[in-house]
Amino acid sequence: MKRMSLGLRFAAWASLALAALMPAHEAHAAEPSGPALLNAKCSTCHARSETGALFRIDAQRKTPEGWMMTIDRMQKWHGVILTEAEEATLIKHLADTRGLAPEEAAPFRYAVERRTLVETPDDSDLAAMCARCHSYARVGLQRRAEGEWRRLAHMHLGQWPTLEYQSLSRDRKWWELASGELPGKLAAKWPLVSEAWTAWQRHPTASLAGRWRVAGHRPGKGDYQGVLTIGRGNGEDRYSLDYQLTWADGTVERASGGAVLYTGYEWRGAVTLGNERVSEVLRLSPDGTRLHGRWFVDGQDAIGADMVAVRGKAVIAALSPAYLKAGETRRITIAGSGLGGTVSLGADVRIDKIETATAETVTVIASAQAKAKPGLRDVAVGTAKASGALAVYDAVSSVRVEPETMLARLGGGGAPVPVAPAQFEAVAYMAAPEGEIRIGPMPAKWSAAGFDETAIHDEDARFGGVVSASGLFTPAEAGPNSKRNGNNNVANLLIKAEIGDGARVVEGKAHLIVAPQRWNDAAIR
Amino acid sequence: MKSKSLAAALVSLCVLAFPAAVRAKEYILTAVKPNTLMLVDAAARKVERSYVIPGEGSPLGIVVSRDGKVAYVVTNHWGSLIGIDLDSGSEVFHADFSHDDLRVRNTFGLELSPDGKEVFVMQSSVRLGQGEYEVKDVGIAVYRTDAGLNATPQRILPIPRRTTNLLVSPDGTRLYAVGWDVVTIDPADGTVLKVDKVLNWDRKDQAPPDLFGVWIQYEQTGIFANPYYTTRPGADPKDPAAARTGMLVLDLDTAKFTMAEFEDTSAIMFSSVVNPARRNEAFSVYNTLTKTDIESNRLIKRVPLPHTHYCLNISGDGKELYTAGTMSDIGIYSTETLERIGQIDLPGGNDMGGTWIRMVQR
Amino acid sequence: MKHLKPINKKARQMERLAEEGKLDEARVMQVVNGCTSTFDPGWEVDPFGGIAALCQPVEADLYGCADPCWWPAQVPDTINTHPNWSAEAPSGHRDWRNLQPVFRKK
Repeated sequence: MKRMSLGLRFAAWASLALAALMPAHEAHAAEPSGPALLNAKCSTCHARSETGALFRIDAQRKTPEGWMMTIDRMQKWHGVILTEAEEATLIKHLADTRGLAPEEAAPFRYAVERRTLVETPDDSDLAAMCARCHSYARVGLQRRAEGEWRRLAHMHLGQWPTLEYQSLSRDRKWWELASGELPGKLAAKWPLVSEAWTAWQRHPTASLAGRWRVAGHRPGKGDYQGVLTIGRGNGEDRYSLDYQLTWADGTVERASGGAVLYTGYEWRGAVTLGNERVSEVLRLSPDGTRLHGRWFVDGQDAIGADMVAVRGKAVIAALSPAYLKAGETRRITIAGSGLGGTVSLGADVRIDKIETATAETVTVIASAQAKAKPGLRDVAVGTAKASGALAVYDAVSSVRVEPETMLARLGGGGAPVPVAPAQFEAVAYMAAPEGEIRIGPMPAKWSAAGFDETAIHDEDARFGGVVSASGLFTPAEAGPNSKRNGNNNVANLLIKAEIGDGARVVEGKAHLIVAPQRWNDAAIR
Repeated sequence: MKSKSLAAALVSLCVLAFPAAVRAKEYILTAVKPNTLMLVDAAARKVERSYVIPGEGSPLGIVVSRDGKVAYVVTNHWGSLIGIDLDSGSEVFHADFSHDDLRVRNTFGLELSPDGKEVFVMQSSVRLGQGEYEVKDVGIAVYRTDAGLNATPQRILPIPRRTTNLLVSPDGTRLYAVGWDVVTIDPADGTVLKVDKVLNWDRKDQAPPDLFGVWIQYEQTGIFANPYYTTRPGADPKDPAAARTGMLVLDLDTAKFTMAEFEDTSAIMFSSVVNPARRNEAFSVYNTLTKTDIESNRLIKRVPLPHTHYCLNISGDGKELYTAGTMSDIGIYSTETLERIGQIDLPGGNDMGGTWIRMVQR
Repeated sequence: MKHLKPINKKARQMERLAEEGKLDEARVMQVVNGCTSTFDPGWEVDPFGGIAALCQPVEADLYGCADPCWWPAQVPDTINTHPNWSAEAPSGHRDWRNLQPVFRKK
């Protein structure tokens, strides 16, 4: 792959805010460094204290996306002029030097991975104050000193003066709380100085160049396995990517792109996969042998895939399929790195035949005994082990649709905001004394219906959009609909999945709101 | 002598029987995007004149001098107050709220003194400092209306945060500020004259009410009415009486203040107007048009509206309601039956949005 | 045209519950990330997790949302941040196609 064309292609990518985090340009030695840019572009307003600390900038830490949002605001609100290259350099420098430790970002990774879910904030007061407008994660992915949290509160009411008048703020002394006790509470919960960050700053950043074994699952399409060859890119922590992927249906795909490693573990990649342009948000394990996270289609982030990549000795990445029914015989592929030795799929599962046995792939024909005890099995290939990696089941006891609560958005209709689809998946569970055990995603028959009496009366299922055979919900066009007395196509839907288990049909449900467009969006919502 | 007294009697009879015939004509004054005032002949159902307001933005609050000659409009993204002479169409007053390093925005409250000499603007300010913002105390900026096209506040009256509506007594001696409580101040110096408790009420049977009002539209009666919502602490949410809707009523002349619930909450209402002909009747809008009796605290009637309206006003004879806000149509309804009896489509079809609807005699 | 709300018994109950302080807090705790829980009446979902109590269509009273910056994380506010966002769409119902997204594209 030629670097020039890669760079040009990246520069043309225009669908996601995250694009700024991608290697959109070549790094040149002549370009100013991060510290030089801080001095040249930021310190005019963010004056240095006697100790040399930059006002505000040195009192906060956040994710690459967080810094990108800040720099975006500085340009739009305060007229800072930066080239794309300068912006990328600044984001990298700030995320590296004022970032989050892996364990600090861990609880809220869903927000940067663009997963849609129902948040469960651990503090209802903070949630009511902060997560009323944006996600709780957006706050939880920041660390600030108390004074800096307070300045953030001042910015909020100064920029959006009606915040204290809105429902769920006018019932409390919003500003008095936001400027009074809240900053102290936030600084105690999410402090600027932490042992985790102090320790992580000493952690050496691994080089990622080399061959990685990749496996994952894309809802609506299935499992995939492959090889990722990471090459050194032009610049610190920059890499080129070359994927060879094989999907569960046998399709082979090549993909290529680039990535940047921020903060020693935050991998942000941009890859062209067939006709799709996708963004990767992965985290590198502290030992530098495992990348895992999610990639998603740019501009349609509900469509994406989980992914894990491993390298090194004796490690299992994933099984495909990862379940086996009692009395059934199937081909199971184990993907990993440095594999070798005896294969075990756990109790009551017999290895009938080993079809392939390489260091990266072990393919076996396996049978579960008719009376196999339902439950999870530890899998081993020699010294490589994967705990609970194979589900052995006797019957599908229930089906859960993931995500169970989901949002899609109307779009298109001749307007610039496209639809935001939703991808559903039917996940089978088996009964067990200790509670239901997840078997895994299975093909399902999909349908949509009105969620309640009102939705049925308003024919929401007719107007809101269409769910495909693969569980992909495509919302209807935005705008008033004459067939709906001028109402638009918003809908409150029940998404149903039916899984066949032998002669039985097991049904699962999800709640889908088809909402109006969002004209405002951010890298962290 | 005899004929003279007869003539006088006839005149007074005429005034009583045909107030509209001897008074000035009644107009509706509202606004549409972009930054355009619309003066509507209510009886003729047509726009008589429109006024393009200088600068950008679209109107929010509108207050009009009692002689019907000058309208003061908050616009420019809630950052300016502009006075328009409704005869000449020219700009006669202009105040940009922001100054120095303070960015100042109007937050809802806007009122004109009865003599038309002073205008009161609820303001929220932030200091745009070097690398940081600093939220300042809110206040009521008082401008002299003869201050011209570069007006600055004559004084700033302190007032609690979250204040919405500002209302003045007919004699101009009291300024009512509606927020967590209704705080009555002396408009001359801000001295607090009286506090009528709202969210801070002493009732134990009902939770603190949710009160939020943007629009003032009391000019036909001098009575301000605004819906509120309250819940019963500990009530089973399935109990229909767990949530109650009430009406806050403030007589601007007598300062009589009442809050009373009239129904189990069954509709959202954004703003209300009182009937000058039968002052026990209040009308409220959002997705429905609601008629309530504010003396006996009863719901009288509710009808659906074809789309949301935020605000409404009423004819001087108390016969017609005018629903406004959101889109470009003013709905006309009978106060008697709540039947839709007409519609005025504002030319251009542009949105009224959140702006106000005022009645003007001129 | 907006359908009449509340449209049925459940919607009425929804609006009652909207006034329940504790229920609102509970909903705050259970909102899909990126959606707003400013439920007066809401942008994506209403206090009951449905859509029956929302303004519909949003195109009709869009500027009752944008101009007072009621849902600034979803709808551009015209007070300070995006003052000219609706300049090419003076009628939301008619001109909504002219409204541009404000999130960064590159």
